[in-house]
Amino acid sequence: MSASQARRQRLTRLQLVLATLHAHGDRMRLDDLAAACRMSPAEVLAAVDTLQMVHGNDTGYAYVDIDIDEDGWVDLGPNLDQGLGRRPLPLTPGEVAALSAAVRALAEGPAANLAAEATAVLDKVVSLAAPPVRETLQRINARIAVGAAVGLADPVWHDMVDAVRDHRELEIEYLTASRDDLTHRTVQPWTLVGREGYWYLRAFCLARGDERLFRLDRIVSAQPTGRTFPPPPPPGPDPSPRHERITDQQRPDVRIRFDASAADWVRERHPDRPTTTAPDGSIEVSLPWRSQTFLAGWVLSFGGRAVVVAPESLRREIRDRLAAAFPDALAAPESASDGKAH
Amino acid sequence: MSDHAPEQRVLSLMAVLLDTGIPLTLEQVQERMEGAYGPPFDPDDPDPRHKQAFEAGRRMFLRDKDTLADMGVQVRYTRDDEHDVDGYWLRPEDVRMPDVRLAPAETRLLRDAARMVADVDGFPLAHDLELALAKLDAAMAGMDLSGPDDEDLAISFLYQHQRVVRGPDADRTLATLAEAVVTRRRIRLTYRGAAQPQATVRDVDPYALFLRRGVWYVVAWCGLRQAVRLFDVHRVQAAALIGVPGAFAAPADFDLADWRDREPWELAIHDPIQVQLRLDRAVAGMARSRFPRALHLTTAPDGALTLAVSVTHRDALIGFVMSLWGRARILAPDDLVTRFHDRVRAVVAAHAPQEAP
Repeated sequence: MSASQARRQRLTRLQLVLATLHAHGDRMRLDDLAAACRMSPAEVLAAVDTLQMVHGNDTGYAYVDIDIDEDGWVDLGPNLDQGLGRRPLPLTPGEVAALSAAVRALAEGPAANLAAEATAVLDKVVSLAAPPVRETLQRINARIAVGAAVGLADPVWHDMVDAVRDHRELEIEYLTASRDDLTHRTVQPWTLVGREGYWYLRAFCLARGDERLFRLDRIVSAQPTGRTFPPPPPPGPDPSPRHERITDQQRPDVRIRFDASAADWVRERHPDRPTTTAPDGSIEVSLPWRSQTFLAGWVLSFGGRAVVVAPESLRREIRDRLAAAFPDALAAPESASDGKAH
Repeated sequence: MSDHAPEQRVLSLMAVLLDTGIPLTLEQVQERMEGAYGPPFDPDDPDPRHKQAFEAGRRMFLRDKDTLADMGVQVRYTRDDEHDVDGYWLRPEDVRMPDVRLAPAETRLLRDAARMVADVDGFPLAHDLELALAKLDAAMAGMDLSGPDDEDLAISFLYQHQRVVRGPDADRTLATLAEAVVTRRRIRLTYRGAAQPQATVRDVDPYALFLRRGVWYVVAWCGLRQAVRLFDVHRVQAAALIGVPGAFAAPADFDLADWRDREPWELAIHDPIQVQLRLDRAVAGMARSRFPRALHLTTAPDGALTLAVSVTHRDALIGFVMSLWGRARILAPDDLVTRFHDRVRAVVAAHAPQEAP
């Protein structure tokens, strides 16, 4: 945060202490006041000290009649005739942008059915800014974004949102990335998880007897079984299913060589992993892993810019599966372009 | 005034300007602020130190006025004909949030939305979000936006976007970029793009900032390249605000989604080519999540889809298709099919059995 942002926010909080007290009948418990202002009690105490020093004219009298009594109540005297703290300040552009980013993330994700409502809310939020900045806000209020829309408007996924809400059990057809296998499972859909730009269904899988994450765009179909289930346990802070948190310490890391064009990408994402850079700029890195098939698919997504150095079992999986998947490629004659990028 | 703590001084300035029924001249402000803005200007006083003190006080007043503007509080300089005076003042409505007319369902939507992004790693407006909610709480007195979770919450979900890539001084850089986007100020970036040997310094007008798949990006008009460019925030080595607020405006047709929703094969590496793609039923969901702008050509009886896709980075598409193990295929154009086959052969060869050491 820049110094000017920090100063602006301190000032806003000072005024907020007054507006919040005023809104609650000029008298609040210190702890309640602090919570309402998103401040610590110590910050509120410091704010009260500063507010007591505010002067509104040259008579030398305190302008803000604010005090804390021995029992921890904060009192505001009725001495704010010109309204310094009569109401909260208008929203700033940053505050509107923050609310806007939040509402959009919601409306583009699990609450896609609320998109129209979200637009109405955002219009109202803009109207809470000071008149001179409102016009500008119309132009910037969609300019900071987190996450991305991932097609939750799709009918299959829309049904899933309903199933989560109504605790309805589902029979799903799912493409398991870790085995590249199309499976049928009966699941109790618990919650939707947005993670790194993808949406997942976190559900209890009856076949596994454990919770699992299912990426929504790998769910091929979903049908209600007609059964319901009791409300799931509340989500913890870590959305990963239990089995994902267990790492096999015994398994040796995989070693992958990336060509020079991907070297920065590797260094940026794995700054703590040991790497070796070759004279041609290619880089070799050791990475932990869980599923060999998933890892093989990931290596392939580099389109040839990544090559597994070890273990041999992963190298074999890549060449065998590729050969099986694209027999026409291996049968085709060599092209004149020798496959290098143009 | 004995203590000139900056916060106290700015709040006192607000109180002074609100308290007066008429615009105040700078001299009157100085008087009422009891020296916090230096002595009034006296043209008959030959002592240069007094002139310096006046200048310093005047500058401090102007800075405080700017601070108030940053908070959304515009101090007016107007003429009051009745009293024949030009001066500064604040109207009560300038410092008051208008009436909030949010329905209960709308406040709940705001609260859920805020809770959703609260844990997004590196969200540079987290403090603004908190303040906005606190202001709304106060404005609506009794409608507690931070209240306990509602039993009949529309949908149960979690949202965890982790920043997987961090640059030097990441949080400060993000805060600077966010401030520049919100206030529309030009910034000077020291930036080293992927595979570039040297960082370059460039002045940019940032249009938008977004987090996608673990990476924060900024979209900006780049003065060096004379074009709108996408920058990875973690590759920003330094960012400094250099312009005044409101220095630029993004084009009216600028849409953040055009940049944020771009897939690797939509990066501008070469001229667009039209590609026909077949996706098996098992990966048909990706037609919606990864190819939302594709033209849907046919659906086969077995559920496979044929799509027409505009591609500007063919190698990225090749990687994506390869990673789906034959559940996706490139059908046309022929030269891309050939290129794909060449690449498959190259990858198989690169993973050929190794000779024992």
